[in-house]
Amino acid sequence: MRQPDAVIHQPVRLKIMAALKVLPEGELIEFVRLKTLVGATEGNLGAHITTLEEAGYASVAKDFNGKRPRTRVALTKQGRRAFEAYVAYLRDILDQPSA
Amino acid sequence: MPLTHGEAADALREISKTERRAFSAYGYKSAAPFLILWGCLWLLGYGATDLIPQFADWVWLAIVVVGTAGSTLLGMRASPGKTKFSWHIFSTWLAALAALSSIIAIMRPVSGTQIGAVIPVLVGWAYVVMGIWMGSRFTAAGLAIVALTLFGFFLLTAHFGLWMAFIGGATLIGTGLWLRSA
Repeated sequence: MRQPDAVIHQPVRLKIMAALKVLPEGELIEFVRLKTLVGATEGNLGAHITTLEEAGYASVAKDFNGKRPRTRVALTKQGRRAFEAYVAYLRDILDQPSA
Repeated sequence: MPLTHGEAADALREISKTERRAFSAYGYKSAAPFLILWGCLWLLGYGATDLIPQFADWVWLAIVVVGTAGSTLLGMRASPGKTKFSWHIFSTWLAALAALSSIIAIMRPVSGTQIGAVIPVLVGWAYVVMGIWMGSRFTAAGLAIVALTLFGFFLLTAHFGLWMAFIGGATLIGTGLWLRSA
């Protein structure tokens, strides 16, 4: 029996991946906006983004918008593929007759 | 441990919910600069229509050119590459202009006020339709544009240009700022 991708399966990371997946390829989302969408605290979101970055699923860009520091996040190609595989895995489970 | 049927269904529901919210937020963020730009242009166009009606046609021609060029530039800025000419945005504006021109050519409005009212009403309803698919803030913005335009057209006919300049323009600019904050 296949196992779910443990990196994506965690509820907050699942929401982060779902939110990033909607963006066009290469598009970045601001950390603050992502925090609102996911409904996580700053520290919690930061820790989960680091996990996703270490897995190669998300990339983080830090720069300045005027004088204000800005952190933005995007889904990598590897992350997009992993998320699609995870969704396919969930659908496969639903397609099987329940016990 | 593999997931159960119920856990998989819950996860898919959560994904769908988050995707819908993210899709709306991305749509709001993308649309905001266009609304602010066109709010400023409405302010100028309708203001000029009321204050210097003899030059209104030329002012509106300039506004259409500036608005189309500005919208294309905003589309280019918003795209991840940021350097390529955005044919999608440019073509969308051309199609919208062609659609509005076709309607005006067929309906033959008898006054400038009718043209000045029918375009915002059509734009407003387009936002309502967008809102049905992309998020309720678009619907609210569309309904506000339609209601304010109809109010000005039927009840403030003598000062319709000024009404649309300040109330219509301010509504578009305010809506743009509201969408940006979403």
